[in-house]
Amino acid sequence: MSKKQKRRAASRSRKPSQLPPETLAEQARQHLDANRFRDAIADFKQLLKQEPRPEWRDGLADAYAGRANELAAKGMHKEAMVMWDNRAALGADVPPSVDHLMMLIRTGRLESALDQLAESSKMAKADQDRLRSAIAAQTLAQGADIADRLPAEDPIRRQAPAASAALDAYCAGNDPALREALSGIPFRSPYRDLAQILKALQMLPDSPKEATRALERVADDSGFAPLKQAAELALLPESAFLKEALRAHGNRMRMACMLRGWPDARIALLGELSQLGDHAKPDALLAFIHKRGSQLGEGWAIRKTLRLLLPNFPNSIQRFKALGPPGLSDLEEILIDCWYFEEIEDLHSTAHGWSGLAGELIYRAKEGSATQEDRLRIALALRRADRFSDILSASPDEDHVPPHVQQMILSEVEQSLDWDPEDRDTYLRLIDFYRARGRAKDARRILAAASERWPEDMRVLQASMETAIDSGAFKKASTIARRILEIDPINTEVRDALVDAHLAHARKQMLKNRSDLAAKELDAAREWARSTHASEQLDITAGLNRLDNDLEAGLSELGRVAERLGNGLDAQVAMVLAADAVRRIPSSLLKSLKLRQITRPDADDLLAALARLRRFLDRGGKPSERVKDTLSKPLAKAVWGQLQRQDAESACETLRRAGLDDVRQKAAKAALKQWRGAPIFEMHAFEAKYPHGCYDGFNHEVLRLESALDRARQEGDTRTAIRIQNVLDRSFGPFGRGPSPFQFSPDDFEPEPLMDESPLDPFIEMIEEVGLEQAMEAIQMPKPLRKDLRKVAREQGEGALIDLLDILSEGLLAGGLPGGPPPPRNPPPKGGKPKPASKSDDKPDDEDPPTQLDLFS
Amino acid sequence: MRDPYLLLGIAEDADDSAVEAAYLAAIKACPPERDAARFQALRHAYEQLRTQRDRVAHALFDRTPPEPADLLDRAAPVGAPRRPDRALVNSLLRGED
Repeated sequence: MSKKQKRRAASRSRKPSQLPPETLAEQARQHLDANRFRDAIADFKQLLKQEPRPEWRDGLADAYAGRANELAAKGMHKEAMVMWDNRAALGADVPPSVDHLMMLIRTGRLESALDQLAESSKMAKADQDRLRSAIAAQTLAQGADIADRLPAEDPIRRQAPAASAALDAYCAGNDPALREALSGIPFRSPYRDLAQILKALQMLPDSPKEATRALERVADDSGFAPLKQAAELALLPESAFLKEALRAHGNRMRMACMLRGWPDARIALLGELSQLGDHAKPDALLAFIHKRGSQLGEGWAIRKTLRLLLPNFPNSIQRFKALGPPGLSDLEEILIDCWYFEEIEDLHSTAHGWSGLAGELIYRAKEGSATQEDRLRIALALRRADRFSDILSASPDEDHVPPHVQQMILSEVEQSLDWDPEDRDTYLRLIDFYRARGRAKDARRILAAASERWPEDMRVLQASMETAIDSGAFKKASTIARRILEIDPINTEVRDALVDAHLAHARKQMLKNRSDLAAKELDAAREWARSTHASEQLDITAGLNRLDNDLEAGLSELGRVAERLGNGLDAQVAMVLAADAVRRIPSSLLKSLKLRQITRPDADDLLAALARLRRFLDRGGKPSERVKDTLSKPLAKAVWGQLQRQDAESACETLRRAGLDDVRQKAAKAALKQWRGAPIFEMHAFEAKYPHGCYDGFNHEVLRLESALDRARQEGDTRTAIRIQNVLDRSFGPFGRGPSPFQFSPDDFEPEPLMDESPLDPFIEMIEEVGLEQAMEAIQMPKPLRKDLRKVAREQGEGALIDLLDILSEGLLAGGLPGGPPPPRNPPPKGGKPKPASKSDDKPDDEDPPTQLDLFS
Repeated sequence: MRDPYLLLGIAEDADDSAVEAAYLAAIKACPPERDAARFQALRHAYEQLRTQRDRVAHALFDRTPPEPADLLDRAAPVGAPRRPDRALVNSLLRGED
């Protein structure tokens, strides 16, 4: 049984209520208030059968009106009319309803409407206006039929000729006549809405805002509302209009289309397309294009057909053939194959597909005379696989294809320059590729060709400078930099790149004990340094360079820089990073500069230190274990709770990148005290504690992180949610939550030893921390060795011993110490003496091998 | 994504200057404050066709299927705005939609 039949059956089976009248009246009122009009009608009818009370009759009238409007809204106008008629039959003193009159007009019962119009003085003013506007609209639409039945002095009849003339003038495009006719319509006219709408329509399409404002003055229930709605449709933005047009039909949409300049053929086509639905399927569009091929243009139709075949390729080809068009050409078949391979992300086939297409195009080009467009087509096909899959990515870490595929693509991209030698991006891409892989000769070859074509181009010049820096040709790089700065004097990138290059070279010279050459490099760098950061870097490196020749002067220089930096945590970070870059022991330097005594950095100092660390990381720096150990303690002392939320987030991120997990955990926990449960800090706290994941799936911290994940999702913080999910995935491992079924958990595996840390480093640092005796005891050093080390410490001082061990450590890192320990890195400073450990140390033993002096004690 | 040629209202053999002229005229007629989505679409269309290399690349690599608007524009382009005839207006006022 259909719903309708069920409803009818229910209605027929409704039994009279057994409730007492007052209770039933209360129930009827409740139905009416809740818009349950059918129930209200039934109850009030039952009440009126018992006693014709006026309030019950009014209730029934309201229930009929409500139900009539409900039916009209559903488009059930005839049914609605029955309700209105029932309402009118309740008595002559039931006030007329404007909705009833509108319905009478709509259903063509004008006679009845006009009868009721005579009674309209009983209506509210707004209802009267609405009714008069509706009759005015019908007067214009139906002409003399209505006007003649109105009293001669009625404004609807009197002003009808002017309104009709205005409408005619508008339709005919006669604007002067329109203006004149509109001037004959007074402000308080029943045709006022028409006048507003016509004025708005005149403003289309040049003044849409003004037109919109004019239309807003017309009520939605005005008799002229259909015209207003058509104008509003015409005012929709292009994309929204078409969407609406595909859904809606009828006269309103037809008028809107005309207002927007749609020819009749287009309107007809729209009707055809709208039958295909909101999201027409490719097959339906394919059939449409095939049917209208000549109207659309055969060439265009076939190009779009190819694209419509892709969604269900290769099955779509059969359906296409069934339509009966001529088959695809060889090139079209290869092209659609290539698109398909791209669509399914088959990298290997994509590369071969485009290679095949390029080959076919080259073959055809060689047969005839290739146009510029043919040549471009070949070049672009040769480059496509690279551009689509980023195969020649600048970073070798991102190589994701087998070497032979990469080589094939590389060769094709180079070949593409023969066909399209004017594509600068391809030259630069190849240069970046070769530079990133240390293929300087190839980079220079491509660069030479690019420089010949674009000698003054900034990007080519910059690539030249970077290539020169790669090869250590600093003089050439400086010359190019000058040329760049002549063209672009505020190019900070070039300056910074040169300063970095000179600094790197200076450090290299310092490691080779060529402080004289290092000083030269630093002087050269100063020429380019403009930023405070660059100057600081140079001053610190110069100070470190000076230490070798003049300890006091070097320390004094470094002390001045540290003071400039506030002698706090920021100064510590600056000194530690710079010292480590030239293989100095950072902790010893801090000790010498008396920077180790800083207790708690304030917020500004902490932020400055973190910013410095971040800048170091941004430039590709990687803190060594020695740096991490040295910085961990002062950073751990910081009061992390003093940071603002954004700073705290940034701090945790910097500490994560620097690998300072202990400090990160502390910072994240401090932040969680302020921002309880904040997902980002929960993630940092967890990840810092379990960098390799926590394999106890029922650990309360894992559960807490899962809650943080939920919260991040609820807050719409997708980025944090993804990060937390990754951390959790790392924790669950391949066997899900809980312990591994194997004997060892991944945590049991020791990380690979870092290549930049020698086995001696922990011992050296232990000596620095607890002294020689306790360090030897801690590692259970054999007695003969202890004796030897004690002797060196006694004779040269503990600092010198540390430096000696440091040299040994470097030797081990460099691949062993053939022939015993290397000579000291630096000669003793002029006039400088090692700090004596005892009085006997005052006399240097000329027979002893030269030993590294403690430069910082 | 709309067909950029149809969006800019240019022929498929348009050169650089024709593309630029069409783009400038289109954004003048439809500034971002009037129809932001169309403005973006116009910009994208211009970027796809700006140079000959871009146009050849678009022909070779663009896989976007046509939209109903493309079919309408291709078969019966929009012309100058028209005014409805009186009969259409009357039928609307009579409630015939």
